[in-house]
Amino acid sequence: MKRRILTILAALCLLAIFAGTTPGGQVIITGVAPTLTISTATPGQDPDPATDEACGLRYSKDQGDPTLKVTVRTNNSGPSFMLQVEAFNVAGGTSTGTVTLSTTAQDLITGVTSVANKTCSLRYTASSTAGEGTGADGHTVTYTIVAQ
Amino acid sequence: MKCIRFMAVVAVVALAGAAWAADNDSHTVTVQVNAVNELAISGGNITLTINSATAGSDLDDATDNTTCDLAWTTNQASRKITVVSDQGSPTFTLKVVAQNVTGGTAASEVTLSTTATDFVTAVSQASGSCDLAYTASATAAQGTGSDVHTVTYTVTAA
Repeated sequence: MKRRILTILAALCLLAIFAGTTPGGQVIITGVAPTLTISTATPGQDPDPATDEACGLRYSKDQGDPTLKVTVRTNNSGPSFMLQVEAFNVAGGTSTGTVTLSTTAQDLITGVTSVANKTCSLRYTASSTAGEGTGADGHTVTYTIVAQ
Repeated sequence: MKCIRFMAVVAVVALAGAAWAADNDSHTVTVQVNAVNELAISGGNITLTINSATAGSDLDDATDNTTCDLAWTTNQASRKITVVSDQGSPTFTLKVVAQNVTGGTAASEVTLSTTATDFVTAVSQASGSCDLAYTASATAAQGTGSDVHTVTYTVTAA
């Protein structure tokens, strides 16, 4: 009986150890969650976009992990206005450029190969047309680091 | 027994550690779009000079529909554009009408006064523009002189 219990516990330990070394890395958002406010326009043109660069990412990969990438998605499936994000000042990997947020995860940074902590800044841009009127969209924006 | 307890603790701690290995993070981003009602005149100031007549008739009107334009943006529904002058007692008549309007409907020609009068109606929730066509007129009996108007256009609720 004792041997069975010990075997099960040993198996659990091994499972935990292997789970801990499964490729994945970590990603953390830094900075205060932004509110982008559109309130001006050049007469004759659509309202001026609003931008925010106050947030960033800190990300890392574990020793032995494959090359990783960072993806981004929103939980807002029917936004009234366009929200885009771009990673810049990327130290670790390559920015894919400007991403228009949707509920489908899209690549934001690719080619994360080094183990040390890496960082980037996030530039959010919100834009609207005059025809889209006024209002507010709330997005829960999720960044995920996964195998490339 | 001690060995079992030890192994159990190790398993729980290890599994918990594995579960905490985060691979994503989220935050809330809010996009707020406020009311935008912007309007601008291009072309600068304008002078209309009356200096001719057809013999036997009043003086010829002075007109200008090429110098100045109006451009606007509104993201609100049910808007119109009004026009008003600060000149409370002009000697001569000054009129204005919108031409080549996009994003609205031109109102009838307006004789400028200190009362705001509709200039473009049914302004759509969009950007738009028009030419400003001014006409100055005088009768022979009004003599000579000059009037100065500060003309103001405003996007407002219809």
